[in-house]
Amino acid sequence: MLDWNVFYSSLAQSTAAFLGLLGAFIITKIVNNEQQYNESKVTIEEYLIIANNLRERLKNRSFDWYNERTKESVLDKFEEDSYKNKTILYEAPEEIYDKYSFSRFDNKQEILKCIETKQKKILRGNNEI
Amino acid sequence: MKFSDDFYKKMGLKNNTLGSVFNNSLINNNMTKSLMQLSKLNQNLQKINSCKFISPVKIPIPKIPNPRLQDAMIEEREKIKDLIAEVATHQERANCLYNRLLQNPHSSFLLSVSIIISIFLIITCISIPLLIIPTDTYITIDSIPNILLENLFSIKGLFILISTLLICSIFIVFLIKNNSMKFSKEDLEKLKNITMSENYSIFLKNYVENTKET
Repeated sequence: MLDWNVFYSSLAQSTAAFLGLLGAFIITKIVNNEQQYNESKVTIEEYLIIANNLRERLKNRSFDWYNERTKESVLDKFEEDSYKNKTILYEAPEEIYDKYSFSRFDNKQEILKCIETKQKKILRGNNEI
Repeated sequence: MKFSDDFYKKMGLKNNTLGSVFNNSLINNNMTKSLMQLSKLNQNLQKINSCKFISPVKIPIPKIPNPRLQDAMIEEREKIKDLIAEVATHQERANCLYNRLLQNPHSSFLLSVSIIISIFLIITCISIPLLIIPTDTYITIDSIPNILLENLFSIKGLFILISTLLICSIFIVFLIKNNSMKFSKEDLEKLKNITMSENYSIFLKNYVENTKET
């Protein structure tokens, strides 16, 4: 005949031993995860600070001046080339944009308008429109 | 308008048709003097409004390149390129971190399940057997609630209840801690923001758009 008292006490003791081991593992893992979580939070803050620093350094660069000067020199070259080859005065501004090295930091739509204006100005100067 | 051949020979002009002469791109001093002489000879020329007969074709004025300006532009371009390289490196690193943190690696589902199972084991396999013993007879499932209630309201029951509650509360605290180690949406949004070059400067946004098409 099974002694139920022995059974219940053995069950409780063995389960307690197992849970003790499991609990130790769980607690250690969670404490490690917490440490890594805090480190990741600090890393995020650092990355945001570096990004802000890069933004400020980008603001200090003279993009507008560079874009304007590049546009001027490329349009001058375009005008020079138009005297040798008049067909470029009738090409679409997008094709001119791809052929010539305009500043890629500039707004493309504004450059296309400038190309179109320049084409019309040269054509008017040549009395062709 | 046509003139006689003698007239053209006197003026030193080559072609017979006046219009084609004036549209010739080679303009020299003789031609300019010729124009003046022509306008004196024929008063009607002064009244003509058409530019094709009076004004010469526009000639390109050679522009003198400014070496200082070109050097300054090259220098600025190099500085911009260096900065863009730094931005590209940083946004790649931020992208790796963002992809890793999106999975919430510190808040493990496995740990949550293990804790819940542990709490269940404590109650069913430790507390209840300890409440039941000592017993002489086989206990049926129907009689468990009565036996438990009977044993709970005793000193033995009190000790078992306190220890069970304390141990379960420790596990519950770690369960809450595990579930709370997730990154907030704001932090992840800020991190996602810096993974794209377009968000650093409007000029970089133009650069990305213009280079994407090519």
